Amino acid sequence: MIAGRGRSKIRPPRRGIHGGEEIDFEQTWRVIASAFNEIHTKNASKLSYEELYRHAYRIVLKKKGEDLYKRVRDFEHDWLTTQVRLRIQDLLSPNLLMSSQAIGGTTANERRFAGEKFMKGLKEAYMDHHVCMGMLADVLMYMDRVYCQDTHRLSIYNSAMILFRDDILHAFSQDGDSVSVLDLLNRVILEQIRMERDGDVIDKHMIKDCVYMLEGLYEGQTDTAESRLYVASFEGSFLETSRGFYRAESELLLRESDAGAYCRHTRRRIVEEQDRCRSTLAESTTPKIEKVVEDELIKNRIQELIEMESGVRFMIDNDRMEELSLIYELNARVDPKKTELMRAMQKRVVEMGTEVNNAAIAASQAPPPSEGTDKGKGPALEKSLNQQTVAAIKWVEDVLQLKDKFDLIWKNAFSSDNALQTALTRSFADFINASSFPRSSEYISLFIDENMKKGIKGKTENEIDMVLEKAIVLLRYVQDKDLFERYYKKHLCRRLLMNKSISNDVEKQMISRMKIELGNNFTMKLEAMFKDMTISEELTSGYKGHVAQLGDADPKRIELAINVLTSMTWPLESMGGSGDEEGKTLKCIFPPAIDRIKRGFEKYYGEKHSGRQLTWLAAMGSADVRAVFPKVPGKDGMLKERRHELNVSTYGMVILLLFNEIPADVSLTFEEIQAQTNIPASDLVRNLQSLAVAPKTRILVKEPMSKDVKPTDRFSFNASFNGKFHRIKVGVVSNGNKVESDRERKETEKKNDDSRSFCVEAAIVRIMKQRKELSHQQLVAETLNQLAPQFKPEVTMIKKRVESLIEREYLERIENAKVDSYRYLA
Amino acid sequence: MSERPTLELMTALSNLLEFGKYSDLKIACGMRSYPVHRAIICSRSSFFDGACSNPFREAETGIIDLSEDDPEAVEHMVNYFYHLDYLNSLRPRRASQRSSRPASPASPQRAAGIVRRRSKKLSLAKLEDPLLATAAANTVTPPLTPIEDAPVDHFEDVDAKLPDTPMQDQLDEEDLFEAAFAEPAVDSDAPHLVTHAKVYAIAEKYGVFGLKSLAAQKFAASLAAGHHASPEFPDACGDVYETTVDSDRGLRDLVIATFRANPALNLRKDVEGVVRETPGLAWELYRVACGLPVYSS
Repeated sequence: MIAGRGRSKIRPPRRGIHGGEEIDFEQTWRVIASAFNEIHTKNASKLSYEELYRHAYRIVLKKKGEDLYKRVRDFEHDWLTTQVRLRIQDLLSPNLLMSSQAIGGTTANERRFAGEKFMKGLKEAYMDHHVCMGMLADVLMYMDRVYCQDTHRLSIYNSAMILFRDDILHAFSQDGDSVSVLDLLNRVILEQIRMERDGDVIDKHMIKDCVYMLEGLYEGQTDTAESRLYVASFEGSFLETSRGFYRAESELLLRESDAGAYCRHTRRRIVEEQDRCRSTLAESTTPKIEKVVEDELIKNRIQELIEMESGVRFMIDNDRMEELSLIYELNARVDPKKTELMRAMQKRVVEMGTEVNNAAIAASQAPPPSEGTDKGKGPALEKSLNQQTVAAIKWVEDVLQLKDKFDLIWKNAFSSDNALQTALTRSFADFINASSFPRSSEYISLFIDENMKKGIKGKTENEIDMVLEKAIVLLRYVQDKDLFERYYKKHLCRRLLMNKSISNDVEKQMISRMKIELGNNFTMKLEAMFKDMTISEELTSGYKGHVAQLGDADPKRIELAINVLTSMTWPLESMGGSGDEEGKTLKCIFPPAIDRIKRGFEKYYGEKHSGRQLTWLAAMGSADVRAVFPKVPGKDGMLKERRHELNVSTYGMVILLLFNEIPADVSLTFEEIQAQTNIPASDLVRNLQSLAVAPKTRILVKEPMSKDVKPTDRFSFNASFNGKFHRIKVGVVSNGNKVESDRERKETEKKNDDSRSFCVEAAIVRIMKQRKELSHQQLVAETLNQLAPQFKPEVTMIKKRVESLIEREYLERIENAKVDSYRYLA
Repeated sequence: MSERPTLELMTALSNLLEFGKYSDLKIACGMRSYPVHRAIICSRSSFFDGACSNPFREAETGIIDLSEDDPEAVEHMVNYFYHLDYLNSLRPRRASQRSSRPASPASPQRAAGIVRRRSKKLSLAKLEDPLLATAAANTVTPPLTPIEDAPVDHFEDVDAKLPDTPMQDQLDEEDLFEAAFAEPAVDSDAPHLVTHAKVYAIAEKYGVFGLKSLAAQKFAASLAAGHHASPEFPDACGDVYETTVDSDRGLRDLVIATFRANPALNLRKDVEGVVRETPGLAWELYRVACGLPVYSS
């Protein structure tokens, strides 16, 4: 209590201390101003911070904040315009002021030094200002806190920064000149960057410091990121200048270097610009300058670049993986879809694929195509057919090689890009299914055929797997799977019936692969063929047992091996020989001994499966015939009876047996033979050729002796036949799987179209049954969709089928419908 | 309870001030000198921060001379930096200890609690709750010291689950602890109104906002305790109106509220004197008399 009262008595002096009396503003300001002078001249260590703070505090407390604020601003304005500006102007040498266009007597080096000096001076002025204003702001903290906040003024620091901007940067570099210091700074920085782009070494830190200044200052009164001087004044012209620079550079480069070098250069430029933004400019510029470089060096040039002589085509042809991957990388930068590269690549795939196609066509036509028209040229025909088969296999291998090549490029250079893979697949499908090259299905099937018969011999399981995989890969591209199925069935049929397959297991593997790839539907019939083969084996042994049981131990008994084929499953029409129309209706007349067995088997079969009809296909079978040739003098003069076992076709056997019935010196004409056997003319010709013309198997003698077989030729038993081996195989011309002749192909296609018609009709009916009513457009679309896995029908075919279904009253047109529509009639 | 770690920190800080260990800065005031630590005071006050971070004489000599300020206020400020409080008799050794002065609230939280309790007892509703007024005036600069009970509650919860820890027993035995957190007896005879006003002013001057709000609380508490009747009230009024700018409502609103609640004040000669001498106060009282808002910015 006492203490409290006591203190109240000493109140007057205390109040004096706290500024109870008026303070002299002018006098106080003089103290502050002189202190500021000291601060600006870096003599602050003499000053008492507390004293200055107190002065400012008192002025503000006495409501003189506004005066103080104004005085400080005036002081700074004064300082900047009188002291700092002069220093900056001193740095401006005449050659620096000259615009870069008018670069005359000054060397680049002089200019660079002048520029560096200027930047250094400016940077120092800014740093000084920055530091001093930091100190001033601390001294004037109370003013900022109370006065500036209450009156919503800019803090004194920000205000002083604006002064620096206006008094220094926006000041004209020289009296009467229209170039401001800021413009000049921008110009100097741009020039230095230009020098660096041209390969000079520049002082990056200095520029970075200047950029730091520009980033610390703002255009206008607001402190948004967009109004930073760096963005507002420098960045735009930097980007513009760079754009011009790179535009010119891209032109020059395209003219003077190859595509690979261009790509490498472009990538280097992008990395350089990124580095520059980090080390010299601001990170925020990185995406913008990247875009400029991308635009000028890539986007606007990519097409030219790709189509250059040394462009993508060249790179693909020469497997320039590195350059391709550069192109990919660059294109991906400007276009996520990589349109240009994709187009170039697709073009090249189709080009190369078409080359492969053309080569295959050329190879298959190498000898003048006379096949099918002239039946006389047996061996020549065979040769040309072989050539075609070779061409087919070469085609498949070439296509696979092409695929390997592009797969490798795709993996190594295009970073396994999904879109590009799709494009590749599309392009491969394009040339494989090209309308100018209708043989792909057949060729692929032949390729498999060849491998099944010979190719896989002696290969390991893995190698076989690879071959099968290759076939499947190609099969994926084929659009008309039904056509392929037709060929495959045909080829498989021959392999099975003639026991040409090396391995049944591999055949089955292939089927199961196709099943995975193309579905159950596709392989159902193929599997049925295998089943028929198994059943036939059982039948054969069953029949053998049956005959043995009969006890008819005929020493001359003929053994029968038989294959019973389901007519819907097997492509029987393709087995009836090379297609004489009448040949299919004729039934071969078997010799009595054979006929007996035939009837015996028919009876046996009829007991097992009642109601089934057997049609005998003599054209496909073969027979072993034991033949005895009369004694002729051997080398040692001894007479020797010669026995040979002849392996001939069924027709051959029938023909030979004819000569059993007649004396050895009697001959038969072609027509007589035909009449007695009913063998289709073309088959007969081929069989007679192999029996009478082929030099090693001349069991018959032909009169006159020539290669061609004419209806008037006469044949007789060649008693003087001399074979080197006991067992002689009499080959029949053209019995293997060969490339089809054009005529055959047309036939196959026609057959294929016929079966397609059924598929289309079935699809239409399925769809309409479900939907009841549908417009024409929708129906076509759905039909196409449903048949896509098998083949792509022509729209006209769909239309025809619809017409036909309407005729047959499966469908009707809906009257008065806005669009063509159909209704299903149950 | 959570006081153990807090106590540890507070004791350590007290010792730092008392023994001046690690001191890297001196605050001088007249004949007195306080060995302080830049880390502790510069982080609390922008003024000291400015003094130490710029190349002025203070940074070079390591001495900040505050002789121009009221020595008592300087002492309270320094104490606040290390004790989060001032006028607290429980400090182990105080250079300016006045033995006659009894204990004040031990911590801001305590102070708040007491004020609330007291205002209930004395039913000073008419006083327009000084705390709310303080808070309203300080919206720009919220107090550094948290007044909320939430963190305390949290620790109480934790402790409730572990009631019998040895540490608890140990704590209970400690005299210092007992003393520090015992219900302090507030000396209703010592108003300290002038002291609080001066501390408030110095806190405002040097930007120590926690101290500013603490001083406002103490000022309000003192008024709430009826010290407007004390002879130092007029002096305090004068200080309130002279030492801060008009827009600073922290103490002004408390003074005006006191005038409104106590019409009898106009009978006092010393009050009349200060009103005559202090135009700011006179103007605001005039507005009150007219039924106008006291202050409009």
